[in-house]
Amino acid sequence: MTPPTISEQLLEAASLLLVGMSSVFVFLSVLIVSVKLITKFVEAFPEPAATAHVTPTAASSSFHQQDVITAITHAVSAYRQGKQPPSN
Amino acid sequence: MEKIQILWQSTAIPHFEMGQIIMMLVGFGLLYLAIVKKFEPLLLLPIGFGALLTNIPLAGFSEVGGLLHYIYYIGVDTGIFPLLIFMGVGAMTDFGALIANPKTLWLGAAAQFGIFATLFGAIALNALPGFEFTLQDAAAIAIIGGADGPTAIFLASKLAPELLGAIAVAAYSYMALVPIIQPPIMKALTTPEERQIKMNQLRVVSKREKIIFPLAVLFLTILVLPSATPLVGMFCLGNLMKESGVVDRLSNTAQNELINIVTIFLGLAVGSKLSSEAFLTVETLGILGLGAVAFSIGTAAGVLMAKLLAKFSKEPINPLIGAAGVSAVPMAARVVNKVGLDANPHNFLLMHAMGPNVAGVLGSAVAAGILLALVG
Repeated sequence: MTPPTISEQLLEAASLLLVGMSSVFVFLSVLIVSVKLITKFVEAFPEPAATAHVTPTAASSSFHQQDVITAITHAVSAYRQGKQPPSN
Repeated sequence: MEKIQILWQSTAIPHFEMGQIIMMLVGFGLLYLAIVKKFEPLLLLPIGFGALLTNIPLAGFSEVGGLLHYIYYIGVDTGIFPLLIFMGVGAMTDFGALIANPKTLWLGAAAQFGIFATLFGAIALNALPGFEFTLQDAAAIAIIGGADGPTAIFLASKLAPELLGAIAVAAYSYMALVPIIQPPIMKALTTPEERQIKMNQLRVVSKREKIIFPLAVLFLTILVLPSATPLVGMFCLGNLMKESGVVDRLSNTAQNELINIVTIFLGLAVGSKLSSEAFLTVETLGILGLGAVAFSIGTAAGVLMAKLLAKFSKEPINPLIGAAGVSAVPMAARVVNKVGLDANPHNFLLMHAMGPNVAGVLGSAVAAGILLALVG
């Protein structure tokens, strides 16, 4: 087989350019439609309102967090009392 | 006297060839870019070091039995390393901006024009003496325009393994140069008024949409472009691990430890391809030149497509975001944001640019699949 001449190669490259670009566009256009369908689907079937599953560990950790927040609040106000009133 | 002779012969000094010295200098150059200039250091550092190792006389790192030979054989020849990296990238990618504004997929598609135009350009270079790119070579070079390292390495390992070193170095260097290459093109193609356009706030995307999205992408790829499923499949796997929220451990591993480990080996393996006989050719110069062209055309096509979209869209679209369609996540999106801020200091385009940016990743993976299917 003789190696293809440059014009043959260029012709093939040009056809690749056309086919390639159009397939990329077709593929991603189909994807756009599917994304829109997914969005419609998700809106049509909204998630059931999430029931609050409060596990004991979560509760205790949030309780601890409450404690920590209270402690910080107290500490900050005690600190601010010792200083000038905050400017903001 | 004979012993001294033997000892002398066992040192590297009498065995150095000119090509090896030049390639070691190239390796040092890459290390300099990585360490001093902070150009894609995560990759250029191991690549540069790999280039040093592979050019050591007598050590045989890249010959059968040598470390780099096996790393290359296991990871790059098989295509496994770029695919694992793609999984990690998937686990880091948030498709929220894309799902909220799916039109931006067209920008990611338009920017792939850089790839196909460069393919044409690479073949046209054959008219010059010294260039003999086959269609496979041209396709592997063109994918540099996708601005996606793993995709470029994956495709090059399949189509033109002998050009892999130059292609990988060009791809990562240009990704590092995005902030320099892109802004002039973006500014040349837009007016100051266009650059100031403010875009509407993106809606909040629900978790379920984000979970269904990678599955939908995978399903489409399976149907129409099976040759792209290695890339897209691993990408979607990583993304699903992240968005499902039930395998945080796996997702964390994919986007941290695993991608880091693979990056070390991938860099070394690519560096091992920087031998003088493969790299010191006029073709390398052609690849470097074509890579820059690919990048610029991709950027320009993205911006022009964004202008076109803006004409038909009800919502305002800032044409700058089209430039982010050449993946290079998240660098390209940051560049868009910066150029936007130059025009209007109160206009933050980052989130809007993330849409085309991740669309570009998908687009270049799809383009790679198409090239594999057509010329592979």
